[in-house]
Amino acid sequence: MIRYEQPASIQGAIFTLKFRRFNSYPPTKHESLGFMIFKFKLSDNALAVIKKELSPKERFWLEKTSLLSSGDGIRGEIIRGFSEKPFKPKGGVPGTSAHRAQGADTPEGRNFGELDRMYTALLKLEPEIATTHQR
Amino acid sequence: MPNDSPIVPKESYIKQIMPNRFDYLARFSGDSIGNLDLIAIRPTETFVSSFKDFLKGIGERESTLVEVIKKQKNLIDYNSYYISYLLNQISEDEFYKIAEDFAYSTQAWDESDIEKKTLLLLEKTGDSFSSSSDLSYLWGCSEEIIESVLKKLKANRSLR
Repeated sequence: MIRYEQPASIQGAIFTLKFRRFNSYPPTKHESLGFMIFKFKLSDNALAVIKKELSPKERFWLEKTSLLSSGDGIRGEIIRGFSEKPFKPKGGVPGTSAHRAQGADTPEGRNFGELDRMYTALLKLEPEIATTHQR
Repeated sequence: MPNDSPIVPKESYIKQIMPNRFDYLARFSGDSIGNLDLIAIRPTETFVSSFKDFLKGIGERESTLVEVIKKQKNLIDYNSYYISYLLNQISEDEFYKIAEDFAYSTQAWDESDIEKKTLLLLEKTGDSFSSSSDLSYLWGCSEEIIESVLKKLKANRSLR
């Protein structure tokens, strides 16, 4: 299931990411998780899908009610997240691969992604209008 | 007054020589000295106090902007190593060690302080720093606190 509306987040061992802009930030010693995380931001049509589930399939960030199954994902204007290891797609620099439509995979470990900003068109919808977007 | 007295006498000295002193600032306005239409009188202490508040506000704004500049410089430096890593110029182990030097812990935050700094930054830069990721990096706090602050600012109509 791909979630388009907030709140939505995913936790997995490997994510496939698609984006047009990638921002990375210096690592953070996350106070509640207890390990160092490499934060990133995907923007301009961002998508993150779980390619490999966590084993065991349990949330490592307990405060977040994230999707955990393979194929689950989030899509929107901006996605924020982090990896336990620095992100480096096998194809080289993000976005420069000849096969960029296939997306880039995060390193294997504990990965988290959360929808930071929905598509503008969804933001403009009246709250009482039900919207269910699934791929 | 003795010769070595300061040009501006100390308050204690004035109190000594003028125990019942009063201290006001007066402003006169008009066409000429003989035709004044506005005379404003205000206790000097009130004026000085508001002037000090004004200077304090400027100081806070300056320190916020300096904080942003330093953080942005730090981000540029970090990303220059990250690009080297992506381009296979440095190994993963080497990059990991460098990254650890840049690592920061989220600080205990004062939400009102973050609100003030965020409002200033958004007023001055528009949407440039409107994502929670950018702001949480700048202020060294969690994205959740930034979302709470942005919601509050929007509710107060401080932001459009």
